Amino acid sequence: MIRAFILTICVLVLPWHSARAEIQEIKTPAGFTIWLMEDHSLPLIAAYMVFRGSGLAYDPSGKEGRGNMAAALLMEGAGDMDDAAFNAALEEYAIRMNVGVDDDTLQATLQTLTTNKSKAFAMLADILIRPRFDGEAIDRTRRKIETILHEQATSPYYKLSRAWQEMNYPGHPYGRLGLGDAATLKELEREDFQHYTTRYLTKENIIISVVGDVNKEEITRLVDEHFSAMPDHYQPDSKVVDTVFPSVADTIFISHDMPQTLIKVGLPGIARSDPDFIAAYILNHIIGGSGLGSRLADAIRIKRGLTYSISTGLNPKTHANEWIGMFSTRSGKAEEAVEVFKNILQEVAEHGVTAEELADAKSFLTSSYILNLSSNEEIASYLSMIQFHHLGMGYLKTRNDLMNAVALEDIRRVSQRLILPAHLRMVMVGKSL
Amino acid sequence: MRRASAAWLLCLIALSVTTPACADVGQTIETFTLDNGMKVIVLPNHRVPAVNHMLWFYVGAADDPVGKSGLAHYHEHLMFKGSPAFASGEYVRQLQKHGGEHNAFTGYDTTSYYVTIAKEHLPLVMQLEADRLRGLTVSEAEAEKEKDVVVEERRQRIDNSPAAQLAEQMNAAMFLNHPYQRPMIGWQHEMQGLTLSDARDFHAKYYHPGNAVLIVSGDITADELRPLAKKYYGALPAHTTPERHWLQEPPHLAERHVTLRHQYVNQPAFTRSYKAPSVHMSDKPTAISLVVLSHLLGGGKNSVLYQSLVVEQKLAAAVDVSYNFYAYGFSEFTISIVPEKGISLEKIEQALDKQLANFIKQGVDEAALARTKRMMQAEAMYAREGLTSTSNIMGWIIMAGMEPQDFNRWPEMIEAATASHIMQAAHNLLQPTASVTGYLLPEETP
Repeated sequence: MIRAFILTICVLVLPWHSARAEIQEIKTPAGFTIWLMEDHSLPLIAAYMVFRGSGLAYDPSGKEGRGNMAAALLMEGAGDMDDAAFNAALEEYAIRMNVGVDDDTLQATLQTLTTNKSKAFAMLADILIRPRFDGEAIDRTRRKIETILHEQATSPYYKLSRAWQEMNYPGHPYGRLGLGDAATLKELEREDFQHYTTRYLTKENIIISVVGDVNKEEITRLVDEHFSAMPDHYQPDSKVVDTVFPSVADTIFISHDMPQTLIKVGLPGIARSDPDFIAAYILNHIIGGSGLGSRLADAIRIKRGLTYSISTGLNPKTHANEWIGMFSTRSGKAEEAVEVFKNILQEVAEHGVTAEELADAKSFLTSSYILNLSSNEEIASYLSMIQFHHLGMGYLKTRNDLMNAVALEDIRRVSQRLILPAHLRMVMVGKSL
Repeated sequence: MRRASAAWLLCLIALSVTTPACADVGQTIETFTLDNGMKVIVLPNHRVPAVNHMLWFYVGAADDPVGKSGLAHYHEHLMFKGSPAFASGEYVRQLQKHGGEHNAFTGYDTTSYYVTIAKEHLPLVMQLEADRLRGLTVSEAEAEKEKDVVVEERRQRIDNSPAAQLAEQMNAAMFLNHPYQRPMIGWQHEMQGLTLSDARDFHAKYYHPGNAVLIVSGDITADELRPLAKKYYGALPAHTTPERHWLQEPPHLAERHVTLRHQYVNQPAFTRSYKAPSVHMSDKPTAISLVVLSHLLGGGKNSVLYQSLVVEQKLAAAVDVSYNFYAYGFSEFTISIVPEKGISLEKIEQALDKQLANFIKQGVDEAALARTKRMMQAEAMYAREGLTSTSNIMGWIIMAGMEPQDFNRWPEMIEAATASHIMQAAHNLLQPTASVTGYLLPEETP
């Protein structure tokens, strides 16, 4: 009977083979929205659930580390199973389940064999709605995080990323240590984690994507049966305000005795919703996003042998946008490498890119589109990204058209707007420049 | 151009396997051999109109000549620098243009080169790959620059990291005579002496069709691939490759302890490696028993060591066990433990030894074994999804000296590892004299 209520808003045909041709948007009777892509070629299902506004930046002041620790604890016992029973059941039913958290969101992923789907979705619902937060598990998890904090304190990569956060997001939650510190961790209690799950993991802010051997009637039933007890309303403790990545040049050098100097550079980026995002994406690909073929790799690695890896990328977050680059070079060569880096940016800022570079980049990005969308999990994750950024169901199909529509003038306009070498912000960690 | 790293090996172990209780994995596997000796394996998977093309060579860092460690890896880098029909940079540019993702891996035993690309561009890929089997055309100047790059790679991977430095030293202590004692990426002083002529000699010696296995997975069948393989690879002349005569290990008589102290180590870490048989050095049942053993001891939160050291005794924050069955020579079975803050490595070592002794005495918990097997068997079905995971796993299976059909037999091989097989394998493995123990410690405070 439930089936009669399913409203399939939209069906979209994709360049995949017929087996995985359609994306369906399902509104369930219990009020969930599910994006489903059916594929019955293997007896496997992947699900990806994302909660907006539930990431590390949303921990209230004084409770830094709450979201990270809660996320770790979700997999330490749920429903009527303690941690040992829960993990035994995952093995017993060959279920893969993971919880991750970043600045903006908490994500739960699931992979199951079709035969065990009911158990798998029941267990996923348990961790999100009925986590136990047993005392032993809390203490153990707290000690683990303390150990991680202790371990990373002397890592050059940690020093780099802490300096980066503090330099670019002072006073904003993006500038805090997301794992918390010894003082905040000590204060976190069971009630804090319960508070977190009931207010942050809710029907109002969940995004659900499912791909694989399941049809819309089945997935509707599975989600409504197991997840309907999820709290309705998202009630965050505090609001996170938008901020901007500073557009003033600055450099921090941190002394760390090792053979290479690590270098992270950045500029203000561009929002995912900006009409020029796609042009910026292509521009980034040409400058430093395409591995060995990029301008930066050519100049710094291939021509000068100064680095093994160099890459750049756009990092659009909910409350700020960055364009960042990372590379490392032997001590004594950092200044030279940075100089070359800036010169490449200057060239792009002044002259844009060539028609051939643009054509090649478009060709690569459009032809390689499907390569990373071959497994259920990859597709589920991609559908979640589209939902998260409100790009609309049509994006899957129009993405390549949007790429192809980008002209040299678009690239020039975006270069002039984004590629501002005089504003470059930089953190270096090493023995010497 | 990554080396096969520990994570890579772990990933394979994690990926290698199927469905509950011995169901067939059901992957179609087609094989043929070209007249010049190149073996070809086709793994049809029609989920997306793309293919993964992977060339595996029976040559790796263990084949580096004495005094020239790092040559196999350096040569792999130079393979991207031009071939008779394609100028320097053209390989990368052609793939960029046609949307191909590519990379290469150098391991001790094998070197592999892969491209994932839309199906219609497969002939281009085969043309590029076949051409670089004809020789390296890189200039001296470019080859010198690339040497700087591989040395930077070494600094980035090893010299920046105390944990990686310790792993390298432990490896050298593990193998007394075998070429596995040298780092895959090479010792820096030897890397700096490598020349283009070394790389050319290496190419002429090992890069022949008969020393390669081509694996293509994705939207293709053997009938479609055969004419292309004949056209591009079939035109290469057959050529013999020298047999491997690696130096062999003498008996291991002493337990080895290696300690690395470093000013940037805050949190001590413990590692114990045992010399272990691989499929090639023993047989499938022994090696598969060790794969299951590695899961039982350290695969997740229900494992013996996690339960004992992390949950019950509250001594450790993390436990990991790794083992790869596909080494051509001896493999290693490695237990890594991060102690909780304030717990000494001596205490961890005592607790580990006690727990391992208990395990040998008490044997396998049958319920835990059944659960572990179910998860491991399902992994093969999960692995069938991805475009690259199937060809990767097939590559390791072949390089291990196993049969292509063993891909589909994984669940039954796992099922066949009984408690008594596993305990026998564990007993043979856990010999102190065949072990190296590593301590990663902060600098001593004066």
